[in-house]
Amino acid sequence: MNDSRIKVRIKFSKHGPVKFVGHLDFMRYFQKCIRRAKIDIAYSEGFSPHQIMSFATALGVGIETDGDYLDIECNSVTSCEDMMDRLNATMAEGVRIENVVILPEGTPNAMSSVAAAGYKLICKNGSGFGNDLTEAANRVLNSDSIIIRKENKKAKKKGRAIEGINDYIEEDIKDRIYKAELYADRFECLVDASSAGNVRPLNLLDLICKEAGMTLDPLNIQIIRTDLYLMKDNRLTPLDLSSDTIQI
Amino acid sequence: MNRQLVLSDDILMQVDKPARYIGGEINCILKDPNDVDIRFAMCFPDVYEIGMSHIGLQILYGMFNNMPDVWCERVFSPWTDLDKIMRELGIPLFTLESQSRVRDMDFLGITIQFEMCYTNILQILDLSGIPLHASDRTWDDPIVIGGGPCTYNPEPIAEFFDMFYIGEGETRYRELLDLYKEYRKNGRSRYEFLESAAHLGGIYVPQMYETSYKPDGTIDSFRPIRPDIPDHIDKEIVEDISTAYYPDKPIVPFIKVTQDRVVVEIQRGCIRGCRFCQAGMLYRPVRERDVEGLKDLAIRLLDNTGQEEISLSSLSSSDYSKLEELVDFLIEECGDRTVNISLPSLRIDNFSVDAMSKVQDVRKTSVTFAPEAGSQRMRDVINKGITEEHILRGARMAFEAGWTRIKLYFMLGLPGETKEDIEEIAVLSDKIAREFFDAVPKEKRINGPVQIVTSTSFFVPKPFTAFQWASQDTKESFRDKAYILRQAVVSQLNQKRIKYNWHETDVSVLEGIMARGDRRLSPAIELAYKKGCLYDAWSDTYRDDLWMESFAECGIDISFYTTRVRELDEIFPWDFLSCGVSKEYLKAEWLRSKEGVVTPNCADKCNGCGAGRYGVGICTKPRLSS
Ligand code: SF4
Repeated sequence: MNDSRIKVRIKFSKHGPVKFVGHLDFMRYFQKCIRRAKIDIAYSEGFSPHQIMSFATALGVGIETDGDYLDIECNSVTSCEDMMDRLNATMAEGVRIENVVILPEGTPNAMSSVAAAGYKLICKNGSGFGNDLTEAANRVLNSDSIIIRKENKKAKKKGRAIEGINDYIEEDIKDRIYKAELYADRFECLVDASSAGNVRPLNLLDLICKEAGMTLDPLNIQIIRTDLYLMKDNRLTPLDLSSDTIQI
Repeated sequence: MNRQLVLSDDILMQVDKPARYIGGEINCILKDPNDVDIRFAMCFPDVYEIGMSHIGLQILYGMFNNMPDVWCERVFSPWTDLDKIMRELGIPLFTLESQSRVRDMDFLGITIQFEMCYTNILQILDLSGIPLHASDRTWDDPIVIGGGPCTYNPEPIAEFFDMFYIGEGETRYRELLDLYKEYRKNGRSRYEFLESAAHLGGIYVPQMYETSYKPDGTIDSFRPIRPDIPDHIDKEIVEDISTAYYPDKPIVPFIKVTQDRVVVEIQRGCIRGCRFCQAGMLYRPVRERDVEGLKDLAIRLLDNTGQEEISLSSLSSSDYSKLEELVDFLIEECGDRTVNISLPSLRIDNFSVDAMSKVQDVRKTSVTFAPEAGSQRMRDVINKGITEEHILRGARMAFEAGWTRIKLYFMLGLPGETKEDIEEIAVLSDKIAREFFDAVPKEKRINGPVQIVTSTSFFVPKPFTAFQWASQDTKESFRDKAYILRQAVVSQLNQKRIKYNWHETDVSVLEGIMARGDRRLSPAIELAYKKGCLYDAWSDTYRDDLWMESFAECGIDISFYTTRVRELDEIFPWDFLSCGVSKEYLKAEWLRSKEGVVTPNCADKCNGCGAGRYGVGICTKPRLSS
C-alpha cells in the first residue's frame, strides 16, 4: 500500500426502485459516480487499472439501506463536506451520501470491521403483525436459546448430505442477537453481521412466525438495513462514528 | 420523491435483471407531464441491454427532450419471463421514466435495426393494448412511427405502422410534431392527420398507398391512392453533421449493457462501395464531423457519464481524414483519466498498429480483419477493395507488434461463388498463419503460437445494394458450403492453428425473406407472433418450426423471396423510396460485379451514384469526376 494515500469512508443510503440494482452493478454505478464527482481516487497498477474501492458488505437485490459503507483510497482530498456535496450532486434517484469521513492510517477496512447490522423489517401489506405474533416474539426472544436450522452447505457441496441426518445443521444464535423487538407494523433487530457469525434477520422473523403457527411470506416484507456497526472497546459503534475518524 | 413503479416488488423479485424495468438511471430525463404538449415513447424492440447500446436511440432521446414541449421516454421489450407475467396479470406495457402506459402516449416511435425484431414489434403493440393494424387505431392510440435501416423496405411490416420516417431523424421531426399539435388542437381526425403527414418530406404513410401484383407474383404497380400524395419518397439527410444535435449527456445504465461505454460518432456514411453492404448505400454521401468538435465532445461525454471506456463509431473509421489526430488526442486525454479506448476495427497499417498497441494488451486482445471473401476474384465481385497483399502485410505488422490472435470474417453464399472461392478462405487463413511463422522467429514467440479464428456468416441480399437482384442460397446450400470450408480448413498445413466458426443458417433464411419481402408477408408475421415467436434474433428463443408453419399456412412460397432470380426490370417493393443512390447505378454495379470489375471509392473518384444530388459531404469535394 502506498503511504501517501488517504483512506476515505463513505456512508450511503439506498431506497426506492434503485434497490433492484444488484451489488455488482451498484459497485460499477459508484465507480462512475466517483469519476463524475472528480474525486481524486487512486487506481491499481497494470494494463487495466481499477479504482481502489471496497464495500463493507453486499446488499441483496430488493433490500434498502439507511446506512451502508464503502472505503476508497485517494491521492488527494478536498474536505469531507465538499466530497459529500460533489457526490450528492451526481447521485441517482434514491441514493444519498449520508456521510464522508477520513480514516486514520492503519484503520482496518470496512469489510473486516463489520461486527453487527441493524435491520427494520416492514410488513408491506399494511395489515401489520397482530397480537399472536407479539406473544410468539416474546416467547422466542426471551427463551434461553434461539435455534435456527440451516442447510448444511459443506456437506451438500461434498455430496455427503443425507436427508434427515446431516442435510441441515442447527445453530444457537441467541448471543448473536443484540437487540430485537416486534412492533405492530415492523420488526427491528440488531444482530451479528461479522463474516463468521452473520445472522439473517428474515430467519429470525421466520422463527417467530413459526412459533405463532404462521408462515412468513418474504415477498410481503421490506427489509431495510438501518446501519452497520464495528466493535470498539466492547461497544457497537456505527462504522463512520468511531472516535478515530477524522472530519476535515 | 421516488417514482412509483408499475411492477410490484413481488414481480420484480421474480424476474431476471429487474433493473431493466425501473428507469431512473443517471441522465435519464424526468419532466412534469403538465408542462409538455407531446409525450413520445421511444422504443427499441429488443431487451434493455441491446436497446441501450444503440447510439441512434440516445441521439433521438436527447434531441426530443431538448424540445421544451416534448417529453421523450424509453420502452424496451420485456424479456420472456416478464412478458409471460404481464400477459397473465393483464399489466399494460409502460415507459421507463414515468412508468406511464405506452398507449397513453402521443407517439410510439420504434427504431427498427434488424429484420429479426418484427415479432418483438408486435409484442410491444400487443402488450401496450394498441391494435396491431394501423387501420384499426383511433385517437385513443399513439401514432406508431418506425425509423431505422429496415424502413428502407418497410413493406412486410407496413400494416402495423401509421407511418415511417425515412432517413436521418434530426431533420423533420419538429415539423411532424407541430403538425400533430395543430391537428389535435383543431379537433381533426386521425386519418386527416395521417393524410397531411404523408405530404411531409421523408414521411411514408402506408395506408395512403396500394400495390397490385402480376400473375407471376411480382409487383405490377405501387402507387398512392390519391394523386396529391407523393408517389416517391426521398430519405431525409443531415447537411451539416458537425452542427447536428449530438447528446453529450447520454443515459448511463445501471446494468451492464452490450455497449458499456460512451460512443463518439466520427462520421456518417462510407466512401467504400462494397456491393453487399446496405449501410454503405443507405447513408451516402459520407459526411465527416469536425475533429475539434469531436475532441470537445469526447471530454464532455466522459465528464457527464463517468464511463471508463470510450469508443469511436462509423462504418469505416480508417477513412476518417483526421483519425490520427483524434486518436492521439484520446490516448493522451484518456491516459490521464484512466479511461480505456476501444478502437473499432481499423484497417491495419503502421498508424493503427501503433495506436492499438498503446491502448490494448497484445496478449489479451486480437486483431480483426474482414476480407469478406477468400479469393481475389470474389473480393473483386463484391468490390471489397483490398488485396491479399494488403491482408498479409497487415497481419505481419500485427504479429511483429506482438499479437498472436487474429479474427477473420468472411461471407458464404455470395453471388457466383464457386467451390474454389470457398476453399480460398481456408487457404488465406493458412497463409496468415504461415506469415506468423515467417515473421516471428522461434525465440520471439513469447506470447504463444498464432491462433486464427475464421468465421463465416451467410450472405443475405439487401435492398438498395448492387446485390438486390441476387439469388440467396438455400439452407441446404449454406450447410454444404460450410462443410466444404470445414474440409478445406482441416486440409491446410496449419490447420491446428485455425478455428472455424459459422453462424446458424435458419435465421439467415428468415432474414432474407423479410429483407426483400412485400406487404403479403404481414399475415405470416402476425401468425408467427400469435404462435409464440418472439426474440427471433436470439438463437435460444428462435423457433424456425413455427415460422415455417406460419408461412405454409399463409400460402407463402419462401423461394419467391429468397432464391428466385430477379429480372433487371422488376419493380421492387422498395422502389418508391430513395436513399439517394439511383437504381440505375445499382444496376450498373450489379452488372459490373458479374464481370468482376471493381469501382473506385468516393475519395478516389466520384462514380455518380446519385447521392450527389443532396449536395453535401464528399460529393462537394474537388476530385476526379465521372
Ligand atoms: S455522388 Fe459520387 S462522391 Fe457522392 S456518394 Fe455518390 S459516388 Fe460518392
